[in-house]
Amino acid sequence: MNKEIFQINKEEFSIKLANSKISSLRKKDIQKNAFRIYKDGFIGIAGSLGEIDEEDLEEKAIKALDNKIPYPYEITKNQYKTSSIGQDLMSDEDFLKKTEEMLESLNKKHPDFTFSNSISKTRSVKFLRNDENTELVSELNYYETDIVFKHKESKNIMDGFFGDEDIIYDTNRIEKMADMMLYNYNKELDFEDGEYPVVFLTMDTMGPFMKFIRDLHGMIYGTGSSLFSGKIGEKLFSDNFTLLQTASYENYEVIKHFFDNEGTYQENFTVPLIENGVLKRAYTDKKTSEMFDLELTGSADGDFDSVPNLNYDTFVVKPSDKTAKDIFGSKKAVIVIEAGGGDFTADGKYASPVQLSYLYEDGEIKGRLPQLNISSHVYDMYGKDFLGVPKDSILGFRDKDGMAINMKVSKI
Amino acid sequence: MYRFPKGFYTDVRIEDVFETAISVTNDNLDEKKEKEYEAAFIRLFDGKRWFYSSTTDVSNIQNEIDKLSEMAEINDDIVEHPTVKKFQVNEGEFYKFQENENVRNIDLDKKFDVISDYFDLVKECKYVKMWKANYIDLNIRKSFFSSKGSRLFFDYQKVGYRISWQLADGDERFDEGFDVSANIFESIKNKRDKMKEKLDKSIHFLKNAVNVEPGKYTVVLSPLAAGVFAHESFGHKSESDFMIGDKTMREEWKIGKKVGSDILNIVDDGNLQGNGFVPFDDEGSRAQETFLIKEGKLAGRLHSVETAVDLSEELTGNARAKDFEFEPIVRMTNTYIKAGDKTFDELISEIDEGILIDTISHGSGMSTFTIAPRIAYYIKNGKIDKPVKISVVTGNVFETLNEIDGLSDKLEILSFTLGGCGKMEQFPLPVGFGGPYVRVRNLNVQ
Repeated sequence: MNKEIFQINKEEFSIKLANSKISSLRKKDIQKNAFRIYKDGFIGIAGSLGEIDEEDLEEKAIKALDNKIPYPYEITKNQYKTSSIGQDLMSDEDFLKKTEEMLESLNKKHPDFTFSNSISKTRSVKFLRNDENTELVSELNYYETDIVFKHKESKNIMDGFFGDEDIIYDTNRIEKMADMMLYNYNKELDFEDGEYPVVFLTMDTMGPFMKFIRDLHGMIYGTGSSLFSGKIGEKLFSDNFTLLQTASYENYEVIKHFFDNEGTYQENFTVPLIENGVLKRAYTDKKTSEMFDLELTGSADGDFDSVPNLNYDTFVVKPSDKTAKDIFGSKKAVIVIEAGGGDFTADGKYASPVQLSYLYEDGEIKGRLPQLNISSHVYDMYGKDFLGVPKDSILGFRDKDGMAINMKVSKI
Repeated sequence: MYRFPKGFYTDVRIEDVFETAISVTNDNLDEKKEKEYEAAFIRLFDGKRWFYSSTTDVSNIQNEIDKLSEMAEINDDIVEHPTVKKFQVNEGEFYKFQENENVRNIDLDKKFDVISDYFDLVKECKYVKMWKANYIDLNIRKSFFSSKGSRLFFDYQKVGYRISWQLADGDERFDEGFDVSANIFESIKNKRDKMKEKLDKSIHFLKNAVNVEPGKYTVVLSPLAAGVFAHESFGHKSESDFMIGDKTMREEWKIGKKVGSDILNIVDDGNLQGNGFVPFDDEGSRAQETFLIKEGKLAGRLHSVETAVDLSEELTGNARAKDFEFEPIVRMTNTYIKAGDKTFDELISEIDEGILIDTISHGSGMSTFTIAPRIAYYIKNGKIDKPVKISVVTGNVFETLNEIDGLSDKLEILSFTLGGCGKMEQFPLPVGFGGPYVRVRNLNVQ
């Protein structure tokens, strides 16, 4: 029999904005605890909130073994590691003051717009300890800005958003982002249908990665129901396309806990799923890894008191050796700010509306584009039409900020 | 009872939660658990700002109230503040799910038996490469206390399951599922025939679906697709927190304005059974039936106390929080399009070339709404034709509401068993949605 304690603690201070004013402040300090018992190939788990009572939880976890949930996998052994991303967070008072100053500046510079939603600072600690000589501790300290904007004359409930997630609260950078979007918002441009480089700004954006999230899932891959089933080792995509599962802040500015819910982690916290166009591995937890003889990638997720289960973690595309100038030259490109609601068909065709985008030309934003449709196919997007992630910044806010793909684009 | 500090409005919501989760993948048991916990959300208002705290230590709520009051400014006239005056004061016990109807009192193995009844159907099918069965239930006993005198005890319950499968035949792939959702355990059992019908339909789609010729089509939305369309395209726009202090929106969304075709009626009602059954909201306001659109004209919108005051309208019981970690914001409950007067066959027979969307994967809505279909069919010369693969259907919300030209005569209220509605950070919130079959002209299909 083995025993394991798994805990997640989240302390958060959140500032809510409504109609360009601070409307509320929210504090959270929530501790979630799970006690896991492994015995005779089964797992029993008990969970609680707040202060942990180990004896009580252990008793309940032993009782939960009666549910006969198979877990014949080796638990993580002989691993001691602590990792911390970010420094001590600023005080609530300083955070509020800095936010008030930024909001005042935004309101002054952009009186035609209203701002809403939230800005928060979070300290999150993930902890796993077991009787097989393992103790893993991951601490994240970060600020998350997610501001929705609306033009005062607009008949929409919202017109777009800007935001940031980082270990520093860089309100200058957030304001620059807002300035780019809002100063160009009223420059409404016409658009000629055709093929354009389309830039997806957030590196872990769901939309264009949805096919990989579904079809590289170890269980879907292993059972033969993935478009890519049986193709590990095959060259399926462009030489320039390398898709990583990563929790590395150092290399990719990703703010994630370094180990998964089974205590697995990767060297440098990064593992390639597709490397230079070759499918290398599906993403797996211990169950799918063993069931289908796939390499373990450490992608176990789930509720704090659940049996760990497979879920995708952050995907990032490895930057190329080219600069933004090399990639775009003098071509016009579409910078996507919001493209929600699209999807891939089972055989890989992709289509999505683009609710908010800007035209980029000669290294700068020229104005706002009308609502668009974008379409392609997964093998084209990451094959012949893949332009890559520039090694420098496209918009100048972060070190690397976007992935470019040639796509068919038309006005809605 | 709590000592509510003078000079503030304060309320406390305590949630006593029970939930069950069972999950099986390809005949392997992944999860089988019940859990119970108690936690609370506290709000304090000083007339200028709200101060919130979420805690798992319900024995320490008084301390949390006191700490919040130290962050706020005392307001001697707080009881005269319009927001505070607007709060309903409700008292009493309103527990609906008692004894055998309460999922807390149902044996875990009986819950497992409900889903295991379907395993043979997916195991025996040669096209099913992977399948998953999820059972969930949730019972929350809520206690609500306010400094205005509310002392309210009520409950929420949902129960359901989803059997999902991934099909493959040569290079063809297709995913589908079978959802059952209700408030009472007894009403979710024994649906084998319906499940088999859905499985057969998905296999037919896998083997016969053709790629769509992109373009504009007249589209018939199933009750599922119509419900998601009503929720995404119009329901979210009826949530009044988007209108706070916004003159343009007030002008644009004047009650009585024509926004859709004459046959269109959209309603939100927390009193209806379904995942959106919430007899009281998380500010202690009673649920009510709210017409959002009546005969094509804007008829109402959804409110919290704060938005009702800002827009000088009445409360609707739509301030809901995802769970104890969040403050209530304006959300839908059960939102649906009212039925019309045509039979399903009549709706279809009047179309020369169109699309029927039967099941969907997801939907979204801003000024442009989207629906990502799963099973869809061409309609040719008034009849349902070949199944067709579609990535996404889109349309401008305001134009589309005017393009609705036919409604069938039967209404269905549905829910996604495992998902729910997302708004900003609060996802998923259980909601119900539905409608009849709805015919819409000129939708963009890709």
